[in-house]
Amino acid sequence: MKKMVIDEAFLGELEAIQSLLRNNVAGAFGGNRRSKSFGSSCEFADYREYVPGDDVTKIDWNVYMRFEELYEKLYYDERQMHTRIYIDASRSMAHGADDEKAEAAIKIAAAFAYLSICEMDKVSIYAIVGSELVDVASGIVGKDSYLNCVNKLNEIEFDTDAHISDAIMPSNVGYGDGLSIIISDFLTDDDYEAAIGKLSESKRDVLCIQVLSREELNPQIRGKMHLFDSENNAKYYRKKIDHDVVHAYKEALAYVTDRIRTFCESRGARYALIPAYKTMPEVFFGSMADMEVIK
Amino acid sequence: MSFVNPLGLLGLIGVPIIIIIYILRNKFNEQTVTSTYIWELSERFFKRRNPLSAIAGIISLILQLLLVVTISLAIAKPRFIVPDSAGEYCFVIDSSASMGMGGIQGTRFDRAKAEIGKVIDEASLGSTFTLAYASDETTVVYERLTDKVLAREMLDSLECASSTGSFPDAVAVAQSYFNDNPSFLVYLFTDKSVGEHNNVEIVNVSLQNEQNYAISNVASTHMGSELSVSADVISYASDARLEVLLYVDGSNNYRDKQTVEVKAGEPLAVSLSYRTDSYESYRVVITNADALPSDNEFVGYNHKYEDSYNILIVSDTPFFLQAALDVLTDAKVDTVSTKDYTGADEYGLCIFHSYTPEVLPDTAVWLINSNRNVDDSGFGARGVIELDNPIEIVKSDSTASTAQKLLSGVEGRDIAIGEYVKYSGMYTKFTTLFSCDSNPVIFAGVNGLGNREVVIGFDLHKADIALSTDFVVLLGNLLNYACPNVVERAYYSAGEDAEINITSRTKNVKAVSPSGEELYIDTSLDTATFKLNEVGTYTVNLTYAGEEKTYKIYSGIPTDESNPTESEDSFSLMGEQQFERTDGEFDPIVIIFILLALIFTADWMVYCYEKYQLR
Repeated sequence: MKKMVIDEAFLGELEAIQSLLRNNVAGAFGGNRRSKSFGSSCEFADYREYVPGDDVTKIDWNVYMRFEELYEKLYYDERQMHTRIYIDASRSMAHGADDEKAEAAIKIAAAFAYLSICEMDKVSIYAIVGSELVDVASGIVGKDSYLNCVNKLNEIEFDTDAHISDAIMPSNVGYGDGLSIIISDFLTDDDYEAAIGKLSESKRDVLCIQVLSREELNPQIRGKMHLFDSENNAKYYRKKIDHDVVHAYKEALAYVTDRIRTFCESRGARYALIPAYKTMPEVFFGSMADMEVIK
Repeated sequence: MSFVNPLGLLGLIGVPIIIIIYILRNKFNEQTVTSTYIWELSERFFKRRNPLSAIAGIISLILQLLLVVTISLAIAKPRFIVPDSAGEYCFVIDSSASMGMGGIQGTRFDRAKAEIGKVIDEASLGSTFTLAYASDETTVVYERLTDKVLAREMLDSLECASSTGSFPDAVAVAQSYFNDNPSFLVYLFTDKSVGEHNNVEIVNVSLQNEQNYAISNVASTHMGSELSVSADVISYASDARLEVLLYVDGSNNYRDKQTVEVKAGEPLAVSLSYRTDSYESYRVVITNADALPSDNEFVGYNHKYEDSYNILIVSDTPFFLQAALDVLTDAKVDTVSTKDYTGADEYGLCIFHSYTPEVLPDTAVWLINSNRNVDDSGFGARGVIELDNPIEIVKSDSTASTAQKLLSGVEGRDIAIGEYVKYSGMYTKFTTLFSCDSNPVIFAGVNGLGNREVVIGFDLHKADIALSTDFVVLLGNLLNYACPNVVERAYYSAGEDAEINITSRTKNVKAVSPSGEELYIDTSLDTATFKLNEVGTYTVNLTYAGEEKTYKIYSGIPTDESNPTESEDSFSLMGEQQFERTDGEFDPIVIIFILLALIFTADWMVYCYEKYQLR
């Protein structure tokens, strides 16, 4: 990535999202994450500003004496969750205007990572490159670590093909210890199904995020076209594209997204379709909320 | 089928050009997309909902080809021959003043023009149109014109005249065309009731219940200090209550008012008066609004107030002359004896009685019993002819206007003379009024100095004319001739010729019409005339004896025009009507342009549909 997708402005945006979602992220992380995050172990993790409704017994009165502001002490849970984020680094993700899909994928990954960090979870981010998982940033714990690692997302190269199942299946996906997020355009036949199946069998909470560009959602091209596949030049589609063809395309797209959603539901996974051109607040307070990924 | 501009078909070259461009441009465009997966999958969902979609790609091509073909045809102007459809039309439009009657919906003349336009529009191409404009004389506006547009334009430019209509003249014009081609379709557009008519279609453009009031027979007297004006007012359509006002000297305040009840079609006399020592003009107005306002007004001008001449009598026995002039004129009359005469240039008229000056004064002169030659007199004296017995002089039977005018009211009988001066070598411009033994004894004309001259070739004391009733009348006529009022009549009907009396002292005569049109008058004749084409006040500006003078003449609507329904003129064309037609043409240019507009609109809609709606 030549462009700095993760920058100060974006991090500020994340802070705002996190702040607004603070009391409502439980849904995103299994419904019991809060109790697990604020467990009763003795290992101090961080401070957090007191919010009415928090346990008053955890207020650090020494800090209050010094700063005259209420802060709550946080402790690591006994069983720390591990959020694993898989980013499809295929060429198709970087194709289109301003690399909008790749940019959106990175931002969504960074956002979920940050939200997980805030929940005191451990976060690992992988790029799916060909049939392998490339470790972008693994074992991130705490904000400092996050801030140190998050810039690595800018370095992901979206210039290969990607096989989701081939990459995830052989990897250590963990077992019952948190959320697995796959961010891809899922413009493939069934490359993702084995991976989702394995993650579900491993008792992971699975979230599939399909990122599609504006052109993919609503094609503008018309006339006699010879369309080449960005990942494989040998594949092409040749037709005179008119209103009826575009209509058929939209029906096919609906069929594909519905099939992914249905498959995800059958495996206890959740699915979200995110238009790449939307901003992060729109994604989290709009699309995610609408699809009940965020409650 | 033929083409007016066959070169327009060269536009069809655009057809193969468009097809070639379409073929060249219609190749597949290559583009890389994220994935062809969905596109390939879309084949399973693809179905044609609109059969026209199959040809959607070439609709634009088809429309563009149609556009090129249609534009080419529009330029080439195809014409189709339609057998026996064209005719020859002759329109006679009555342009008399009454045709100006109307309201906000337009005048009768406007309606006539609209009716003619309708016939022109509906006539087949190839038809010819002739338009005759019938006012006091008939003018052919265009003859056998085939261009409909030009015919309409020239028709539209016509305006109604203010004079009377002249059907006999129009009939003669129409008859000439009818003689040429008995299939001529002659139309007369008029508001008059046409009596006998033949081979003509009468189109009456008058409307029912058009109210018109009129004022006529206006007369005025100024006795003592009172101006009295009498007039007839009439309402033609229905009984009415009319308000009649008198204005004097251009004042906006009326000086007298009469409100009268008039019965339809019955003129009613009204009298108005105003006390004034003098006046220059008065105006009588019916204030009620009607369809023809211009006959609701009369303006009278008092020119005598301005016209005055000084007269010098050079005579040793001026008794008869003085007595007659006292009766005939208010002008100042001076008398000198022949031995005291020194000159008369400051006088408007110099009367020499039994005396011939050495030099003629540069003014109008009467030479009575002049038996000597004098330069520039225009004649030569050949001595006195003494008669054994008095014989009657003979009145001229000339029909020349000057003779008619000068002998107006003169019976000319029983006037005997005992001697007379024989004259010869008279200018041709002299008009003989009386003669004796074929020798002119009373004649008038313009002398070598350009002044009016009256010659009486006998001594008044040696003739019994001075005792006859004709004497005063003849002298009055001669006086009017020698010292004419520049403008003798201040009221005319529109269409008449106004007369301006020209003397050597009259220069630079110019008339200005009510609409401001300037008419420069030819002053080479004794009497200059100009035609009064408009209703209203004409202003005549001239220089008289070095002094700028202005006279006004009122041109009113001819009385007959106020109620044209009373006219019963006939309009009969001699001959037998035939109905032969020539081959006409059908010009589909309007249809082509409609088609062009439809195709263009359709192409534009296809373009927008492709460019905006689908995207």
